[in-house]
Amino acid sequence: MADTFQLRLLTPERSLFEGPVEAVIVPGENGQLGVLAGHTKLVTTLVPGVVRYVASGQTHQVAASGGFAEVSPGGVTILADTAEPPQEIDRQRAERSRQEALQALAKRAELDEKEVSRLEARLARALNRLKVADSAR
Amino acid sequence: MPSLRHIRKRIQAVKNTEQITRAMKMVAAAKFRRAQEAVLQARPYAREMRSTLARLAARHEEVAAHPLLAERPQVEHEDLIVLTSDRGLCGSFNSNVIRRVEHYLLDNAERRDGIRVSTIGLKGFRYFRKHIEGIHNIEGLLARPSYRRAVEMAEEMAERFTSGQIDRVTLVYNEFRSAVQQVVTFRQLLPLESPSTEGETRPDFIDYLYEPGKPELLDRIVRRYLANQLYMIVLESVASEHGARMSAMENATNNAGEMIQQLTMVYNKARQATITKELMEIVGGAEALKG
Repeated sequence: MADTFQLRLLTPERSLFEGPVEAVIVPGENGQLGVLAGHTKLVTTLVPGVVRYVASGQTHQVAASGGFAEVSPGGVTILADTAEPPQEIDRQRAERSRQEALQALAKRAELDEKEVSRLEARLARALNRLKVADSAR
Repeated sequence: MPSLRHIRKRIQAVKNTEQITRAMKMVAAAKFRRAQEAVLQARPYAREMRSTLARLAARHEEVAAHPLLAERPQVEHEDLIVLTSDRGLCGSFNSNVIRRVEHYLLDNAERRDGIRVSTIGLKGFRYFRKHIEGIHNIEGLLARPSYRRAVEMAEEMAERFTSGQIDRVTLVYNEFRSAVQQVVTFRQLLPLESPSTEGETRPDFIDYLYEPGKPELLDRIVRRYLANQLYMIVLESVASEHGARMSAMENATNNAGEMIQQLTMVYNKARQATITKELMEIVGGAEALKG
């Protein structure tokens, strides 16, 4: 069995996971960041994306919307702004949100910059949720 | 002595009140448990956030130099945010806060014009709007405290602070100690106090940083820390509110019970007195007939 380390996946509203894992992959600012036991110390910000972790051979996926991750000898701490496991995601709602954002973005020429970035963020969140929701099916 | 009918009515009235306060107590207890759970769930994140920032600050002086941590030499403009509840019947929960705020405003009368009072909670708002013009109530936080709303509010605050519109933000709230104990606390939110590493069990100071580069990373963490502080304070205040209401209603229910006991005693005495009086009359009448 692979070496394990402690993972703590926390959000301001609740703690989602706390326990030994074999690997963690987080969506870092400059791309996916994979962490195995014995990884060097670091702190990074996270972008909205999928956090994956392997606990007793099983891969879990969680839709996260940005935050921080700290890798230290004691383990990995993820401080996410929000995090949703697949069973909590309302697939229809995410799908609706995706379509609404796409429709609004189709007329992007008429929108100001701020509105466009807001819609793009919304689209990214919706796609993210859909991806995680589908992973569990 | 009031008539028997009167006492009976009175007892019934107290019984009705007791029923209401007992029901309210149960509702408050359920809400309290939920609010307490929310506080407990939120603590690990808050603790980690604090620890991360403290360990960063110990190695990177940029943290202490962050504009949100900069103490102003003179406080002219202050935002005073008063946390009360939207509903009443929670004992001295709201009046304690209001009284302390009144004192604070009197004590700082010389710079009163620079203090802008806002409220979170209708009880405080309704009280202060009578004599503070232009006061506004921040809505959408109490009924269902959400982190997202706290982030929005924290960003607004940070903007006002860094642009120099205000020199300090202070929150007044009931700190949550236990179901029966709440302590009114003044808490300076901005400028942020740098968390100390005192009592820090993890000695691994963070001297290695990664993407997206030091200034951005530190800035984001400091801002998240601010939002989280605000969020925790709101959660604590809500938990305190339900705790205070629970004990207030518990007391009310107990008092009603006591009152019913006393009234029942008075009622029984009065009833006994009437019976005795009637007996006396009968005996008296019989004696008179003999004569």
